[in-house]
Amino acid sequence: MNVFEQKEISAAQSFLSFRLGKEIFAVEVSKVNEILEVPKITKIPKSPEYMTGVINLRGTVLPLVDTKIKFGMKPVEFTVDTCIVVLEIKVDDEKIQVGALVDSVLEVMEIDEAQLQPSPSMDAKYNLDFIEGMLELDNKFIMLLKIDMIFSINDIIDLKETHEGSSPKKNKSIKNPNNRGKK
Amino acid sequence: MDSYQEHYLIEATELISNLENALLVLEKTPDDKSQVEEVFRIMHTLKGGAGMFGFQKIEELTHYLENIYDLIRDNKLATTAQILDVTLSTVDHLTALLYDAECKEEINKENHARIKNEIDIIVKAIGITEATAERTHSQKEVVSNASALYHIVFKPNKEIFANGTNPLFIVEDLLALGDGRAFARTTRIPPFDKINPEKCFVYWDLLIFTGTPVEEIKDVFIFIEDQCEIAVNKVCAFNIFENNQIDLKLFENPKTFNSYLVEIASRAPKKKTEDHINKKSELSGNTGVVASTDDDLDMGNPKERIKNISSIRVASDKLDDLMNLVSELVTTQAGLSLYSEQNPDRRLEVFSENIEKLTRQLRDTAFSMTLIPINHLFQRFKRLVRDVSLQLNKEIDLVIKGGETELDKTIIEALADPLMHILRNSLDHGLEHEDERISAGKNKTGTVTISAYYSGANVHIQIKDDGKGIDQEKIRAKAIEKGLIGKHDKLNKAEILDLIFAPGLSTAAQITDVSGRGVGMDVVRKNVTNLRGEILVDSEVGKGSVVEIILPLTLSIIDGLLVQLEHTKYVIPLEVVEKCHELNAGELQENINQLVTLDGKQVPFLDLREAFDADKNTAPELTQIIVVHKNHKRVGICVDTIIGEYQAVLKPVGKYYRNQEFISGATILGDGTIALVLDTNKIIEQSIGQKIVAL
Amino acid sequence: MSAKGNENKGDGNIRISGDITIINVKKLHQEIDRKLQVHNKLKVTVENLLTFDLAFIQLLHTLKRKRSLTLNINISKEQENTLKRFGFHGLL
Repeated sequence: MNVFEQKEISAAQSFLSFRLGKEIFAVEVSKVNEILEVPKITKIPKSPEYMTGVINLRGTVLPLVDTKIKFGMKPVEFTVDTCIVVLEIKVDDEKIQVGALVDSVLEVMEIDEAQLQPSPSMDAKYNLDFIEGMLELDNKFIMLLKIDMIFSINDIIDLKETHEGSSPKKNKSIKNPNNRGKK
Repeated sequence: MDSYQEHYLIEATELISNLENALLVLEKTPDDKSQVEEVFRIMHTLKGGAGMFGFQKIEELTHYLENIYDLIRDNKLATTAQILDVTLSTVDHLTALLYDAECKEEINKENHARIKNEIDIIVKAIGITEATAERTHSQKEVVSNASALYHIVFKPNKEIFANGTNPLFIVEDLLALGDGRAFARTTRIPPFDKINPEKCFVYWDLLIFTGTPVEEIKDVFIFIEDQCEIAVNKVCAFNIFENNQIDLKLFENPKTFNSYLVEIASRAPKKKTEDHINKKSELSGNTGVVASTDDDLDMGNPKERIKNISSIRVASDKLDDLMNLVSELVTTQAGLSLYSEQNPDRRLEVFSENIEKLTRQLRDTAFSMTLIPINHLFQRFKRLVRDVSLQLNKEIDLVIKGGETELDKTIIEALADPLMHILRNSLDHGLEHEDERISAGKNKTGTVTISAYYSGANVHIQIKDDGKGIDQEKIRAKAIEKGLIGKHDKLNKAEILDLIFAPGLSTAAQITDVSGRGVGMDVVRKNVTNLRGEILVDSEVGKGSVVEIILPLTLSIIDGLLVQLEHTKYVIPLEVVEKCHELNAGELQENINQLVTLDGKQVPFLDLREAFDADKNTAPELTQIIVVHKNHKRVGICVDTIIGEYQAVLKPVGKYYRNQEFISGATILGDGTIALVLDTNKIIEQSIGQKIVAL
Repeated sequence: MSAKGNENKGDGNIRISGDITIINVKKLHQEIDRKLQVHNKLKVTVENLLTFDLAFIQLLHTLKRKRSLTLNINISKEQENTLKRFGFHGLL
């Protein structure tokens, strides 16, 4: 992946912002199919911790991802605000749906291209593979996520990865699923 | 636009679409008079309305067409590909004319002129045929092998590459028949961003001047009949390639191809009466139908025709939609049943039961629609066997039995590769060379038999050869060398033979061009298992081998046993379940060698609680053991509770859980929650390993 | 198959040579697609072709129609004749 490659961003785009812990993130509204309350979750045994399980979305089986664990934070604690953001992502040219568990959904915002700061100018070292850009709003930074990349990687990712362009390192916090059966 | 016109618009749109359908059917069954009648009737209605409501252009075109079909109706003309082509393009144009009645738009003007011209050419040609038809009325058509110019359309299916067929070879074979030109049509190739480069989009118009009769021309396609669309039509009796008045460039453009061809046909030199007869077949085309009732020498397979009349074509994605809806219905109905059980109400109960009955019938009917005969697949192997037998210099007979056996179309598609591989193995490693066979006292021609048959809710497919068989000792030695089994392990014959499916037991020493394509039998087993099928092998040295694949009839609904473990419900496919037992949980924990005695026999077991890392504190007093069979072995699987039998509509759990291979899918229960469908083979393999010895 | 080129934002080059068939045509398609994302202009040169099949011919058609790249087909007289014989007049 080329670091200097920039996706063209149209003049004004809509983003959906949500909260994970204390940080605020946003994704393009066009990638969001719907927002759900948390129904009964069926956990799939021997799967990585960030893969919370599956739910019944009107007859189809929707996989859930604990976005916080995925970004190396503490697991989502279920409260009345906890939501599932149903995203449509592209993996290997195939569109799939995935539900992202978030602490709370905030708002839909219109963002002008001019407001958007391309991440390279930021002093914080964010991994550009996963971050589209940054936005400053009321003295808070909102990170715009490249969700196709984030959710197509089958691992925990570190948004603050410093080496550019490299794939994320294997995180030790995932137990190897194959070893857990035997003791 | 006044309301009458509007009314005609709606009616005409419907008529045009009916006309299109009728034409497509007619294309398949060109001699079906009732279909011609139908086309004529629709056109007549269309024309009537057009005249009344001021669509002069439509009236004009339909009038011409009506005349043509009137002649066909009276057996004075045959339905040729040319006529059908022109009619179909007229139909497209008619739709445009409905919204541009005066034909003012540039593109419509252009089309109108072109179509009128094409119709004119046909009408002019009819003038000749009409006379001829009468003159030859009582004469039988003379089938002569005199050279003629044929127009061959060869449209490979998109998937043709997947079968290893190279369409260029077919074109080459056709060109080799005589003087000829190929015109590749590339208009269907999608743009770069859209193309799937592994699909075929090109098709050909070929003009061949040859003395080869039509039937023999068609032989070129014999092995790929089901992978392409073919039309062979006689055009005329003279060699256009030796006539410099003919501008071959005009054939390069698909738009001018047909009209130019018709023009050439009508230019053909007329001499004696005999030529008139030829003329007749020129127009009718040899694959088409000859007009007079007693002459249908050239018709293809009569069975095929009858089948076409009584069946319709449906796009396969529509079938998929239907299946999805039926699956939804089955799930919803399960919810209704549950609700009715929990809320006793006499009338609700009656409704619920009736809906259950209807749902089941609907499900069965819908399923039967997705089944297609396995012959679709078997036919492809003919070509393979022919090529391989030449390549390896072995004489091979391929016998196909039970090709009419029907299976779900998705299963059939997924079976192509595994079956191809097994077959290659048989041809390559199984069958001996001629001299070897003779010295072994066998018939010098080797035989490979592919057969398919039903057994219960399963389909069995066997590939059997009468070759040298599999040497158990060699397999055993290899497996020891690779560390798959221990030196002193005692294995019975079935278990040793089963090792050929083990990963890593590549028979690399024997790899040849034919079967050495980097796919092992382990991949074959994996593919079959993915289809929830089973694959077994049996062999006798010197006599031959047989590989058997056992598959479920359909992939989308399974009968299962619903069980619970901690808070999660699982479905175990009923087909692997042998028996259920109840045991004291303590008995298992003290067990060291992972064996439990059931009905006087020791059976290895797998505690799902342990395998799935369940909380030890929630373990129940009693545990349920479900004995399942895996290939030749029996294994007990321990769960908390058995809820009962359940009809599960399989849903994919998706790419995210592709590493959790032991979950083959999920199903939605009546209460809206999800149960996971267990692949018992996988979970046993992962947790206990492959070395379980049946006791 | 070999498809070599240099990577920068401006113009790009891809050279296609060797055996191009159904086996590797998908890879090639992806490679070109990837380059097209990176470069404004792309020059695709086909030369020293050994074997090719219909899958490759199809891909050539799509390349020829693609505006953002220039296609140079440098093949032997014999290969040209093969294309002609199979009726691919539009490519030459």
